[in-house]
This record gives sequence, structure tokens and C-alpha cells, in this order.
Amino acid sequence: MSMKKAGGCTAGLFHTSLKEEFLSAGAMIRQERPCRKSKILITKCNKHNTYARGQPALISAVLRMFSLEGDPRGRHGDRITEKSVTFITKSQLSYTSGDSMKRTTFYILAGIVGLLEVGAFWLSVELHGPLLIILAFIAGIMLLYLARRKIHDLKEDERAVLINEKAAVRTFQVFWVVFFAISLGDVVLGLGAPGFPRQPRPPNEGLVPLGHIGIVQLLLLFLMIILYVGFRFYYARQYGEWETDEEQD
Amino acid sequence: MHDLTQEALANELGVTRQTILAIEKGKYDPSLDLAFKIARYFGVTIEDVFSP
Repeated sequence: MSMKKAGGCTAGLFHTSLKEEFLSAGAMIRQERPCRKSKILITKCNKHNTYARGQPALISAVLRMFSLEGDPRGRHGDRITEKSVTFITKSQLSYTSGDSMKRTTFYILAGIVGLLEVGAFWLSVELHGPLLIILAFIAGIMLLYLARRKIHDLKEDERAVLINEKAAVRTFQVFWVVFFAISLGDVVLGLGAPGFPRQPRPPNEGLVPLGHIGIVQLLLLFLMIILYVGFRFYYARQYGEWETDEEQD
Repeated sequence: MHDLTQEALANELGVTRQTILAIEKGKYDPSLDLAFKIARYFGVTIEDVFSP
């Protein structure tokens, strides 16, 4: 479909079938919402190059709408013309589905979830109900995982994936040695203790030993996180994460 | 040469600008897929872009 004019457009300018396709792809056409709110992220790199990123189906619909070429299967960088962006911007159309999120919003959400987890932990201790913090933690992580998938300005390319993979593998390699060594020490302590094997523990001793195990587990988990962050930093540096050149501001 | 910024090339190839910079600096060897994309973008062969 060719464009009729750049400004003053309304949704009515769209060809009906294309409009339906556009809407079915998850878009909402609004008259008074800025384009930067769009589900499609339009990036103007210079005066010649403009790109759109977003859901493949939506990009495909936009490309078809403007009779443009592009690969809607690509995750990034489907190219659209300057003209079409002008059209979209002046039309003040936005393509929103309400499910996109900025990185900063995600970080704020993560902070809130963290605070809620602390509250849940405190409440769980007060109520002597371990199930509460277990469920709250799993729910919090699932929420953050789902939210992270909706970040539209997070770009993870093959170099980032490689860095993450290398850091994860190296963390595992170091961690299992430490974990195994500590476990062996624990077993030796148990085997060497007087009166081994122990008599059954009186039932009124409660969950104290389990609590101690939990602390050790948390310390090991903390070690794992420290190791991962350290290796992540090391490999990011190795693969030029903080390299600068003359194009850098 | 092509009046092309790293950001524009990165967007075209679907990677970050830092990846383009890392390749330029020799800090990162791209995958075959990315290498072919770069070569195709400039209309040359891989050997013209990368050397062992």
C-alpha cells in the first residue's frame, strides 16, 4: 500500500485488510500516543538508516503496510524507510500491546520484588512457616523472568551469550570442586564424631540442624554468585566489553 | 569509507555496537553466521574482511 500523505493521518487511511492484519498482530492504533511508546522500537541511526525492532509479526505487518522490504523473521534490525517513520511519527500512531517494558522499569520492578522477598522472609520467620518464603521466592523469580522477556531495549547478541556461557561453565567448574571438598569435610566430621552412627535425634530438637544446613547452602550459593560475577567480569573484559575508540563519546 | 557508524552497522547486523568494536579491535572472533552477514553487507568475501 502506498502512502497518501505524511501528516494528519488517521487510522482510517489504512487499507482495511492491512489494518486488520496490523491489529491482529497485536497492535493498537491510538491517535494521541507518542511513537516512542510503541511496541516497535524505531531506531534512527543516521539520516539514511532507520530500523525497527519488535515482534516479528508486528514488524511484518508494518512492512507490508508500507510495501517495504524486510525480514520479519529477524529479531533485530528490520529496516524501514525514513519516510515511513515520518509517517508514523506525524500520525502519532503507536503500536502497543501493553506488554513491553524498559530496562529501567525492570530494574525498579526487581527492586520492589527484592523488598517484598525480604518482607516475606521476615514474615516467614515470624510465622515459622518456611513454605511462605519458598513460594514467595519462586513466585518472585518467575515474575522477574516473565518481566525480563518483555524488555524491549535489552539486546543480547552472540558475544553476550558467549560471555555468559563461558562465565557459567567456569563457575560450575570451580564451584563443584569447592562443594565437593566441603561435602567431604562434612562427611569426615560425621564419620569421625564420637558415637557414630548417631542415635536418633529427640523429636523436640526441631529444625535447628536444618537451619544450619540452610545457612551453609546460602553461603555456597553466595560463593557461586560471587564466582559467576567475577568470571562474567573477566570474560566481558576479555571480549572487549569496555573497549573504547574514537567513535565513543 | 561508507560513512557508516558502528551503531548503524550493529543495528543492520543485529548485534550491539560493542560487538562491532570488539571485532574491530580483534578482541572477539565472530561466528560464521555473523562473519557471512558482515561480508554480505559490504559485498565482499569473508577473506576480504577477516584474516587469520
